[in-house]
Amino acid sequence: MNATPLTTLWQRNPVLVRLLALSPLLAMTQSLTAALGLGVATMIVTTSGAPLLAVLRSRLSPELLIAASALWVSALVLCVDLLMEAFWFSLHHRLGLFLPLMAAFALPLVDSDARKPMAAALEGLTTGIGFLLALVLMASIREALAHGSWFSEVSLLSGGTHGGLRLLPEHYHFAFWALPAGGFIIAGFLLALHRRYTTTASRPPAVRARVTTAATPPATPPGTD
Amino acid sequence: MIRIGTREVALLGLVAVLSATLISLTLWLTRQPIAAARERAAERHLLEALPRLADRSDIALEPRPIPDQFLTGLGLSETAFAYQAIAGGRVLGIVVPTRSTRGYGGPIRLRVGFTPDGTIAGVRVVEHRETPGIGDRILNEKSDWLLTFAGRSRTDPAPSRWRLQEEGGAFDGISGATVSSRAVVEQIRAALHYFAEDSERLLAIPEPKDAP
Repeated sequence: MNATPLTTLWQRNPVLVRLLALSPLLAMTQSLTAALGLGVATMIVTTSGAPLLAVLRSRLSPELLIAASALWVSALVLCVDLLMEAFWFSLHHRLGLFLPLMAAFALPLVDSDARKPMAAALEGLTTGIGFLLALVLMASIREALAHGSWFSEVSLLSGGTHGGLRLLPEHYHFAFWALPAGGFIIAGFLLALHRRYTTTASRPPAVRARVTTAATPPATPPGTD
Repeated sequence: MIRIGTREVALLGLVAVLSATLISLTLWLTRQPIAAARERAAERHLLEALPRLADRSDIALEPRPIPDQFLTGLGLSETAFAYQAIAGGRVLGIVVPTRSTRGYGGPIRLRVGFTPDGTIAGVRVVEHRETPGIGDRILNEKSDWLLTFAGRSRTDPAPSRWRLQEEGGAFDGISGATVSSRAVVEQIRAALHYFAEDSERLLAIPEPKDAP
């Protein structure tokens, strides 16, 4: 696959095109701060996890590669989880279960065809950025629609007391957009918009999740983790 | 049947060793900061009952076990601790835990903060199961009803008036949530009573544990 950084970011965007990691996309986009935190954490895991897996790819049979990938990715996830609890305690508390859960949804994200460590790291980085961008975009829209604010929990990152922008009057609240149904609708609109601005010719086959399809029976469609 | 070569198994083992090493290293690196962060978070929760001290970073919290004979009055069953907020060798505030069994939906756990002279500095609801939208308005975030207790003491209002207005007391209940309001007022009264009875010990700086 001739994946230049830009195609990974846009035409093969992990969320908008490959439909991976939808559960964190819905669960962690009620606030921009949480989305940013989870996005950056995922980016670190995909970038640092890819090089070793690229080296192993040509040396291990597919069955063992899955075991090695799962082991290595969950080890990295655990490390990021611990580091975040140590140095960004309140943000860690906010992300809760979704940090350890990263082990599940980051696994297909680090899956690529790259066999050179540097190329794999670059692809992991761009995949991570693609995930981060999708999360941030969705969270910006969702937080504005649901609470009329933008970045309201920024104090979790900076440690200050106040922050964020008030876009709509103080009492504006529209809980629907914070609920899963509202999240799905916004995600649908984003997908549609993305399709609209991606030409058919340059679009690769939509879903490609080798590790998940190989690891789980077809009962769970790839990408819904 | 999958055929697996020795070399592949060795590689997988290598990945396992690498993962284990990385995790151990991170654990070793983060153990101290995580413990400190958890402690800070727990202290922040306690200090919420002492609003004036909440922003200060030089406060040390010292747990003092509550003597058994007071536990029933406070609605507590197991060993419980009052906390002294100490800075500069002086006790600046005391946080007393208390639990009402007479809430509408279940027990209501409160923390009452006192200044050394026995006035209430703040009241914080820790846990409750009151009806959302009705009884849960006793929560700090949703109403400032709890603020009406700040600055009060055992004699302000007079002990006989430490109850809801409907019962001839000095405090307005929350309309529609009389049961919850009454439970909170009663429990704050219990905390005041405990503080008055045990104040000598609560205000004394504890002996250093490892005195040379």
